[in-house]
Amino acid sequence: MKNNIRLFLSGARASWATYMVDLTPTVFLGMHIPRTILQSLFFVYLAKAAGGDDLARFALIGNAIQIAVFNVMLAMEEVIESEKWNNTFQYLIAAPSSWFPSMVGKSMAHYGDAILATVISFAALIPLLKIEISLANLLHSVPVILLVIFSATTLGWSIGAFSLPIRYGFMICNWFAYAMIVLCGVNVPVSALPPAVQFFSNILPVTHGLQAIRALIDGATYSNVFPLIGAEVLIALAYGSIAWLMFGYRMKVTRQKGTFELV
Amino acid sequence: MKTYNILSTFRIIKNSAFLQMKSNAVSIYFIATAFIQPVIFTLISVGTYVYGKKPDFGLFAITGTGLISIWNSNLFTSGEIINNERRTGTLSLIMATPTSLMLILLGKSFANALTSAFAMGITFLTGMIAYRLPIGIADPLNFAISLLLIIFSITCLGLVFGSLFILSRNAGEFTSVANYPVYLLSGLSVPLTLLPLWTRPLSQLLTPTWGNIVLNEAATHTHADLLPNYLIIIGLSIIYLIIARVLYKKVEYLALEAGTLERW
Repeated sequence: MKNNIRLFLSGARASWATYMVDLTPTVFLGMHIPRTILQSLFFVYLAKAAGGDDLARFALIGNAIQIAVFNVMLAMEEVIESEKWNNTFQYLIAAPSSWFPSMVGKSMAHYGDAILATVISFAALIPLLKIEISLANLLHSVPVILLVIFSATTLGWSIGAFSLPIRYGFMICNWFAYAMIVLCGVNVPVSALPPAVQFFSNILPVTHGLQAIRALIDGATYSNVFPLIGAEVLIALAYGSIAWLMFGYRMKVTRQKGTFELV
Repeated sequence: MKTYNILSTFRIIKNSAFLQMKSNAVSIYFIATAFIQPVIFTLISVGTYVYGKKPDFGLFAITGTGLISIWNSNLFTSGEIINNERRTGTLSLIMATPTSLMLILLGKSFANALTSAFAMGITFLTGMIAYRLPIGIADPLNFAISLLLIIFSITCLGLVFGSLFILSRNAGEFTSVANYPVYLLSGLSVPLTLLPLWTRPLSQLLTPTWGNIVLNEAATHTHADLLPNYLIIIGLSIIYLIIARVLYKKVEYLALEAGTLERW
């Protein structure tokens, strides 16, 4: 247990160091924050043009969460894929310690970045678009926002584990993250989608959690949204298990065939 | 300019464009970007208008999404071209040749923009299949002329950004920031009337704004005289080319003075 904690902390330190190298103050202030705000702003304006202030409010909540989902999914896929590109996958296989705490640690900075993206989106867009959202209710929904971000993490991990042998994992994850704007009810409710599409919406992370967040922001209690939270937790666990099993399988096959260079 | 200079300039642009097209044809990355992104963006934008009970905005959303794809592809690939040349170690070699880097990038970017014109067809198809919108182009000739003009003009605008990518390794981050302001300021899928008035002059400096206007007018056949808008697009393209030329000269000077591109 003690060793696992040490591995986790070591991974978190590596994650923070990489994050700080990638995001210099200029990149962070001049590119990262503007992109976060502008991406949400575009989709919220689209909703405002289509359905007025009500749909804009709906889209604002959805996009403020989606921007974190977007960031965290891409980052988690990258955490897995970077082992391949940095030639460290073979060390992960050879090391006698468990890979899991280290990989969780390596994703910590991105998890923090995703939370920051949501905070920035809400903080910038609510006053900019003069949309009424109760701060108390918003704070009330924070645990579910964290759950949704974690849930999206598991999908990013799964895509990373599945796409490890190919070169296009990041691209696939990128389009998946965009497609989730349609599928998870970010700009328009899931109920407006065709029934066949709703099936996919319901088995994806974020969909149920986002509905719970909207309800909490509108004043619902946690007992009202318990089924939605429960569904989100189950889906996160399912995707997390798939990712864990698949990544383990990739390591096993690589160890058996000795073909880590080709992975 | 002497005749052989003009001919050699066109030869350089043509060869760069063909090389880029060959590279695109085998790049899954490019093909997926050109084909999947327009589908997803059309589903989002048209879907939002249909849900908001404004299906009349469907055509506006579709042409906007098509232009988004062309601009996105152009800007993204401009950054990628520079990054690839840097990664393969050929950026310095190109810089050292007597041929201007700007001409090579013009050919390569134009090839990307031309290929991404398929995106316009894909957005129309997606709108028709997914939302069963009765979409047609009322004035196909003017639509085709507008599309060609806007592709050329967007390529010129992409060149201005491309010059900055040479001096930065953060082209990827920069492209993702530069995308959304252009979508918003050009009124691509989102009406300009929603934006504050002070943004209008900025919108008018961007060629996608005018491209959006002429494409929508040609698609709906409003009988408007498109010539003034065509002239504006051509004028803006010339201005972008002049700015790009000045910037490339400056960048080339900085690189030659430093004797390396590794500093950036």
